[in-house]
This record gives sequence, structure tokens and C-alpha cells, in this order.
Amino acid sequence: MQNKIENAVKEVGKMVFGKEKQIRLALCCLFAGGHLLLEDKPGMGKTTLSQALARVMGLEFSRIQFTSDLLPADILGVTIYDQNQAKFSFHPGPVFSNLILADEINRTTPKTQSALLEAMEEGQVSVDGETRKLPQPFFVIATQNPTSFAGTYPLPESQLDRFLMRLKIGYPDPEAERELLQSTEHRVSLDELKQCLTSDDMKVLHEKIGNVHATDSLLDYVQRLIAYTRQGDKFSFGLSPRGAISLIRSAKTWAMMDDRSHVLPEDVQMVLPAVTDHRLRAVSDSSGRHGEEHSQRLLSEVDIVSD
Amino acid sequence: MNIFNLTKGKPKEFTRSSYLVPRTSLAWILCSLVAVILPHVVRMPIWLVLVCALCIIGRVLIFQGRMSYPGPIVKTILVVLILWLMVAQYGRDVFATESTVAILIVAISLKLLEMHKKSDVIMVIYLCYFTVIAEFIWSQSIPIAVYILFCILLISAALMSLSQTEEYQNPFRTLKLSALILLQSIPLMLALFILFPRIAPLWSVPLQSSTARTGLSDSMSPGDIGNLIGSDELAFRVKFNGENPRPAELYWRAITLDSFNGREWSRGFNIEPQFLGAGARDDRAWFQDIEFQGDILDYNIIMEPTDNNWVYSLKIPQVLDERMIMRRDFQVDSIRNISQRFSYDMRSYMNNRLDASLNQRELRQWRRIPSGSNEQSFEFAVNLREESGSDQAYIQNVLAYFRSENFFYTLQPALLGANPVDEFLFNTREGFCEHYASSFTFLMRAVGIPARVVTGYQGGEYNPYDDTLAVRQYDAHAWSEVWLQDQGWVRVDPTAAVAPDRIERGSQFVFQLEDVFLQDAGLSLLRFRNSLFLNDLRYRLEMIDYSWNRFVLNYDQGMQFAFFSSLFKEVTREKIIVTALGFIFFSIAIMVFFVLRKPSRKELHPATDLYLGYCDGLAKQGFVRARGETPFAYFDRLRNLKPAWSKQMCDITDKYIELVYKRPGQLNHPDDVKEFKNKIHQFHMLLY
Repeated sequence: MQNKIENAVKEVGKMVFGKEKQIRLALCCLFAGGHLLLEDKPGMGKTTLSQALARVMGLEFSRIQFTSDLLPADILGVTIYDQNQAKFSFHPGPVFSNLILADEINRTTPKTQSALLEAMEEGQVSVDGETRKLPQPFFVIATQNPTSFAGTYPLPESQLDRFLMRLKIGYPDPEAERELLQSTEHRVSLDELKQCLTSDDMKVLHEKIGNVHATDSLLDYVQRLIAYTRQGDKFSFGLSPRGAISLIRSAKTWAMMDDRSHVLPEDVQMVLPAVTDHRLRAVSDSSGRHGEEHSQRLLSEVDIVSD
Repeated sequence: MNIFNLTKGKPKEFTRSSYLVPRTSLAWILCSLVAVILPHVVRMPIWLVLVCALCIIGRVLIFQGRMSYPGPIVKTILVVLILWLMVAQYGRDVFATESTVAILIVAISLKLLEMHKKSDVIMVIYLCYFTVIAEFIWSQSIPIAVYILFCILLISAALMSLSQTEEYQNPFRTLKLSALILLQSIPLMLALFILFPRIAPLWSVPLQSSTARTGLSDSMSPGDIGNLIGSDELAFRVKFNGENPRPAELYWRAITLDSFNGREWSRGFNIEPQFLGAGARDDRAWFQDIEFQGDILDYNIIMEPTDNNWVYSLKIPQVLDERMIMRRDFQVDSIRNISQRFSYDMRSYMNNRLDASLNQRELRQWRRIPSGSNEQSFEFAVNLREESGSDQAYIQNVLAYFRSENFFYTLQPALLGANPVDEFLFNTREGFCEHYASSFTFLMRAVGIPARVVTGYQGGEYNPYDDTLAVRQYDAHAWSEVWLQDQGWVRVDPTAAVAPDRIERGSQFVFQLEDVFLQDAGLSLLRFRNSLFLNDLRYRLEMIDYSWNRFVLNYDQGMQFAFFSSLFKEVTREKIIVTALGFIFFSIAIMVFFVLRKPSRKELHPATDLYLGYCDGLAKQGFVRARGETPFAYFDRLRNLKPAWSKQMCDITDKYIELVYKRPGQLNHPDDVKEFKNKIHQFHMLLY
């Protein structure tokens, strides 16, 4: 199983150069059953990464390009009168697939955003008063441009909270960049990527995550982290319980990916920025547009072994 | 529907039984009530016990819903009936302690039937606390103290369970909590015991049954002392300062008997008024006349209550205690009747001359014998005196007569009639010490030698563990004192002539084979004197009992002052009170501190504690662990800085991660932690 994970990382790496950590975190997020928010400037490889992820995980994939005139029905599907059969029939929208790439989610109106977000949280959608289950597993990888860019509707905190992780891909380092430049001509196409994981593998992974345990001392550390965000005047609001659960779940998944059955503080520290950055807002940043990396503060200020 | 009708039309039952005693609470209350009543049962009439039992059963039925609370009419009838029965039972003694406590108990039991409100329950619990302490009026022994502590544990559990929420109703948890609280209160209890000002009781408690006590009485007729031999009850315990005297010297004087009516000796006359103030006694001429000589013997006596006022002493004591006076006949009396255990210090001189200069007129009182009785003995005495020539020789001859003729020293002498001295000397010739003392004294008086009988105890048993001497009722004894020219009063023990073993080895040795010995003692450990183990056990138990009596029950103002004088130069009552209050405030302050204190840092994993020590050690070397540095990252950083320590640090870090993060829960083996401790210890050795 560990090989399969490594293969997946390698395969995705063929498409996204020099971003192993981000790839692993993205996989970690999907293994943990959470939704992923990729935030970066245009052209950083967000879409490529998500497509590659879908490919290696062998998931049914559909892409929705969010624009300012997108309507909820465009995502969820519509009921149309079928003249041949003389009745209304439901035409499922792109949301009915295992993995959805919601490209540039912050370019659409809040109304449409919430249509997707309901699906993310509940795993079901309601169309015309009828509730329809979404296929399982159901993942959303959303990409967005930094909120300071023109033509964006920033996601409210309540909706950001629903993403397990927010990743920034960042510029590639010079070596990766060189490699990228060299390979422009004979670049591996998406279709050439091998599927590394099956849905059965996913079940096994989930089971393994369930077997990872966190000791009291580790939970103490996690609680100290959470308490740090809630106390004092550094943050306008602290981590929600959902955020806390996300943190420990991600840490467990990370430990599982490292083939361990116990969580180490390193695991927590590794996933912490991705899990908490989008959930926290510094007091100084009242609009929430800066998106600073608060987690660094947590990592350096909170003691690991004791108060 | 009118909404106001809802409140108006509330059914009556709901308002009445609005408070339901929690299940655990009721169980504890009933348990503690039974425990509280139990020791009092022996003093309660049987019907009262039945009433209490019925009340408890009734309360259970009410709880189960099989019975409803009794109405006001039933309750009134019950109370009146019980009060009437009480008056009928106790009569005029209805206000004595036994009956008041019985009334209290039955009142608590009846209260059970009307526990409607929480305050009722709390009242029952507080009354239980009160009643359980009442037991101390009758007994203050260690077993009772332990039992009462147990009762308090139960009552506290009941009180606590009353304020516990539903999910904490495990009764044993409550008991544990109660025990914990009691344990915590021990320091405060000790402090209050030691520091609290000791005040003499403001009122005395009248006990209805001044139970007939076993012991000496102020008169002596044949058979009286023999009756005591069946009892193993403790008379008193002595602790000598310095060396213990020989058994043959241990004549514990209690009562001097001067008057003889032919059969019975009694304290017939008093030469001086009995109660003289303590200050007045030194002025008396006869008191000045006592010549104290010989070795000084200091000792402390704790005597069991006698309900009389004589106290025990060796030879002629110098009375040092303000609470005692010495009478003209050298009997020492306490000013108050001794109705509680009484501890006092005595100083005796092993040699002294008493009343050496008495004139004949004064001596006349100790020569009186009733005329017309014991004539045969009188004649015998006069003849023997003529043969002897001197008083001393006469005494020796009488003792020789006891020794040479066939006299028996026995517990079961034949009964004597109207002229007991005659019958004893010439017919039965078997008797106990009082027979010998009585007839010897008679023979002395018959020829005009002043003589009298002294009763008390002889001997005793040394406890090898605390070196105290226990004197029991079976050590009771009687002997004579005769007045000789120039020598004053001299002790003569005719029993010693007949049965020297009695004096040298004690009555238990002489009589252990006789049926009468210890016949009243029941299953006493004293019966098993021949079993080494049981005898040893008995000695140990007696030692504990002695310490309890001496240091706990007899802890009084004197001992308190002695305790404080080891703290201060000058002890005053104010200082004691200030110290006591200071201590109480101090303990309250500690409690307040613990209650108000912020919750301390969470209890750490033992390994984490050790690991922090390891980090401290490294920090002193200049390698401070950053707050957010994981153990492995820390090691990784130091590995490059200090390669020499790399191996140990690697070991420690690995072990720490294994102990703290690898194993679920706290399932660490203590040995692992110990091993980890050793590793860190070794690393510290390396550092310095």
C-alpha cells in the first residue's frame, strides 16, 4: 500500500515539478476525505495538480469553470420536460461525479458558491425539492486566485471552514523551473499518467487511518495549539471544533502515509499550515484579505512537550 | 383552555412529594442511622428499638411508593404515644442522659417518616452526627472511638451523596470521597485536639445508672475481698519514674479501716474533718510529724473510676496534687468523687515514721473492740501476750501461730457466723487476706496494741512493653498496721506469713487453679496466661490502651501547658488561644488557597517530566530547545553541534518518542520509565 502511495506521488510529480510536499499534502487531504482548496496566482499549476490527482486516484472527474454568471443549476443539474416520454426528467449536473474541480471558485457569486458548498458538506444536493445522493467518494478540489485579485467574491469564513486544507503551490525552485522549461516540448500528457489507486485501495487507506492512534501527550499538544488560537488577542477567532478535528484527522492521515500507526508532533506540524491558515484571521487583518501565514506563529510559540 | 388553570389546579400530591431523596443518599442515611443507633441499643428499652426499626422500614416503603407519608393526625398520635411510653418507662429519670439520648434517637427515627424537603434530610444527618458523639458519654475506649469514626464516615457519605448529581451516584465512590475528606481533616483534628483550650465542663451529665462498680468498698467483712478475685477489671495502672520497686513492696494503700463491730471493719470515725482546703493541711501538727525518709519514688497513676474519693498510693505519700488531701489516718482522698478515669502524680518515701509521738489518749481509738463478741480469741490473745513479754514478741508469736497451725489461704473459705474471729482462728482456719488481717488486728487490739486494717491492692503485673504496672481487682488485698512505741505505725501483713507466694508472685499465681479465680471475667485474655502468644498479645493491647488513656483521654490543661511550655518561655492562656486561632486561620487559608488557585499545569506524562529535565540540562549548556521544536528536530539540530553526545541523545529521544507518542493511553510499564530515567541520569553525568 505504501508503494502505491509513493507511486501516486511520483506520477503526480511527473506533471508538477518540484512540489512533492504540496502533492503529498494534497493526497493527504483527499485520503482524509476532505476537500481541498488550492489558492495561488494564475498559471501556478493549480489545475494541472488537481487533474493529475484525479487521474492517479482513478476518480471520475468533472471540471466546472466558475464564472460570474454561473447559476446553481449549471452545477447541480436541471429538470427538463422530456417530450418523448411526456414527463419531467432530471439531468444531473457536473456535481454528480467523484471528483470535482471547481476552478476559480471565488469568481462566481455567493449563491452559486453555496450550491456547491452544500454538496461538499452534506454529500447530497437538493434539486426541485428532491434530495439526491452524490456518488461516493466525493471530493472537491477548488482553486481560487488570491482574494486581492480583481473580479473575486471572497469565500466567507463559514465556507472556508469546509475545506480540510488550503494549499499554496508557490513558485517552483530554480531546478524544477529549469526542468520545466526543458520539457515543454515533450511534456507528458495527462492521459499518459497511470492510475495508482483504486476505490478499494481507498477503503483500505481509510481503515488504516482509523488504526492510527494519538497518545494523550500528543492530544495535549493539539489542545495547546487550539487553546493558543482561542486565547489572547492574536486572532479574531480561534479554531472551531471542526478545525480541531480536521487537524488531528490530517495528522493521522499524514502518519499513515508515513507508514506509522501513531501520530508524532511532526505530523501535526506538517499539516498545521495547510489545515489552519485559512481558518484563522489575525486581529490586525480585519477584512481577511491578507491571508497571512498564521500557522508559523503557532508552530514557534506553542511548546510541544509541556505548557 | 385557560393557561392559568394549569398552575391553579396542580394536584396536591405533587407539591408534597416534590423532593425525592436520591436513592444512594437514602441508603446511606439509613445505613448510618442504624450504625448510630447500634451502640445505644444496649441502653434502650426493647420496644424503643422496635419503633426505630419500624420507622426505618416505613421509610423504605415510602421510598418504594408502597406507603405514603403519614398524615398529621397519625403523626401526632405516634408522638404522644411514644412520649407517654417514655415517661412510663423511665419515670422520674426521664431527664437523665440515657433517656434523653433515647428520646433523641426515636425522634430522628420518626423524622424519617416526614422527610419531605431537603432541609429535613439534612437535619436528620446533622442529628446523626450529634447522636453518635453521645456514645462517648459512656465509653471512650479505642474500639468505640474507631467505631464512631466509622459512623462519621457513613454519615459524611450520606451528606455528600445528597448533593451529588445523578451520574455520580455510585455509592462506593461517595464512600471513598467521604473517607478522603475525613483523612484530610485529620491534621486539623489533631491541631484542635492539641491546641483548643481545655475548659472544665460547665455542667455535669447525670447518668441514670451509676452502675455498680467492682472494687473496694469503705467497709470490710469476711468474704468481701475474696469476691473481687473473680474479676479481672483494671483497678489502676502505674508508671514509675526510675526503677520499678520489688513486688513485695507494692502495697497500694486505699482505705484505712479503724472501727470494728465484731464482724465488719469500717471507717467508723474521722479524727479530722474530711475535707480541708489544700492550703490548710500543712499547718496541722500531725502532718508536720511525719518523718519522710528513704528512697524517693515518683510515679503516675491512672485509676479507673470508682465513684468514691479515695486514691491509691504507696506507703505514705507526699501529696503534691492540689486535687487531693491526706486524712488524719493517712488515707489520701481526692476532693471530687472519681467518676471518670483519673490521672495523678505521686511521690512516696519508702521509709517513714508516722505518729511516733502520739499520746495514749489519742491512741485509744485504735484499741477499741466490741465487748461480748469473739471472747475466745480475746482470751487467747491475753494469754499469748503474757507468754510473749513484749509487744514485738507478741506480734511475732501471732504470726508464728498463723504459720505453724494448719491455716489455709484459700478463695473459698467456709462461711463464718456471729463471732467470725473465733470461728476462723479455732475452727475453720481457712480464709482469704481479709480473714487474716481482720483477726490479726483484733488480736492486737485485744491486748491493747493500737492497730487497724488497711485495704488496697498488693502487687500488680508489669507490662514488658511499656513498663507499666497494671493492678487489677484480683490484686485486692487487706493487711494490718500496728502502732509501736518509737516506731509509729508499722505495716504487718499476716497473709505473708501464711502464703508468702501471694506477696511475692501475685494472686494470679496462687489462685490460677481455683475455679473462683476470674469467674466473672468471661473470655478474658488473662485466662490464657500460659499461651506465650496470647499473653504477648495481651501485653501489647494493654500498652496501647495505656497510651490512649494517658495521652488522649487524660490530655488536659496541664498537659496542654506542658506542651506549650516546650514552645514558649512563658505560657499563658492568651498565648494558647492565639496559637489555636492562628493555626485555624492558617489551615483555612491553605484550604482557600487550594480552592482558589488556578488549575495547575496538567499532570504530565512521567516521561515528559524527565524529558524536560533532559532539556534543562542541555539548556544549561547553551542548547535551548525552541518551544515549537519537536524532540526529533531538537536532536537533529544538536547532533550536528555536539556529535560526542549524539548516541545518548539519540537513545533518549527515541525512547521518549516511544514512551510518549507510540503507545496508546498511559499503558507504559513503570520499568520503561525507570529505564528512561536511568538514561537521562547517565546523560546528566556525561554533561557535568
